[in-house]
Amino acid sequence: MTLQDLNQQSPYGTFLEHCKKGELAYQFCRDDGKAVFYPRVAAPGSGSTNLEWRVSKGLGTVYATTVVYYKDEKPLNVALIDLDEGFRMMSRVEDIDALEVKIGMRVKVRIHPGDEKQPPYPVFSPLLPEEGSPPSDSHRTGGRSGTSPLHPGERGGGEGRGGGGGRRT
Amino acid sequence: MSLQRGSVAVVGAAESDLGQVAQHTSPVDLMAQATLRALDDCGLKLADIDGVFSAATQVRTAPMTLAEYLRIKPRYFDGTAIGGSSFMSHVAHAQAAIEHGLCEVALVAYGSTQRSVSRAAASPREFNPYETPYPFHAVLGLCDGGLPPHAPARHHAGAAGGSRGRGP
Repeated sequence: MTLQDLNQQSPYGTFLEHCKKGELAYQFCRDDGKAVFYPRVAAPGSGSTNLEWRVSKGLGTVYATTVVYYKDEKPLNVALIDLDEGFRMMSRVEDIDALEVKIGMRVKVRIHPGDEKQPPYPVFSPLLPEEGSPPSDSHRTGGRSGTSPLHPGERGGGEGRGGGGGRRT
Repeated sequence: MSLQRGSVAVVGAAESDLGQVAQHTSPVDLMAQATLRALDDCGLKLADIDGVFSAATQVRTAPMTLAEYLRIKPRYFDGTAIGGSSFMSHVAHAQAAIEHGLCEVALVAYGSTQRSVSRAAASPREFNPYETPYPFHAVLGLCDGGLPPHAPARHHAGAAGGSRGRGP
């Protein structure tokens, strides 16, 4: 077992280096072929250290969405996104009203530059139907090939990772 | 019922990388690293762990966060946080939990990046407004009575006639 040397480099450090290049990075476990996110020193569940870094194409599907209201502020969107490479992450969908974010909506990542206090971080925006359809050769359980990108109501039979498909929180 | 001497054993033990760690290393990265090394030490697997015991000033819900990181589903959690003696209590609680059948393989883990990060990021202030001689002093400002190491220090100093600077 060879564990990452944390005196030299950390998982989040590597992730941020990719963010600074405008990339959403994730880990891939060579043992079981599954994506790992968030990044770790070892694969969750198995403890495998046979991990490699990969860069996501940045395309995904909204698995769950909610809206958070603060006093005197525009409503904020919080969403769980299933990336096409087979991992799920929490983020937000921008460029549209927080309430207009729908389960099943196709989205694309972009890296928010951050500021002095907050390092860069990934956010998402809606994808136009012609920009990218869900992966048809998806091997992951959450794959919903054939679902119209902007018509989340027509989801059929897709089993989300948590079971039972997408769910509004 | 009292604990039975010799009823459980520490079968694996290990350290994470120590000293100055890479930027953005999290305390839970270190806990996970030490966990995997300890498992390697005893030949058990992640999936064998069914009890998680942890506490850290930099992590609000250390046992849960660690379990999520490792993706294990323990039957038993203990996040007792009583300063530097948390971990002795974790071991004692682990023995009790095992004796009572609440879990069988207990993970006791700690991780900290307090050497590597800024003072502000090292630990949350636990402010005692009554006993803070220099509240805004860069160094002495930390000497509020609420910080775990100082509470026993005061007790110890009193009992021993104030001959020692720091408690047990």
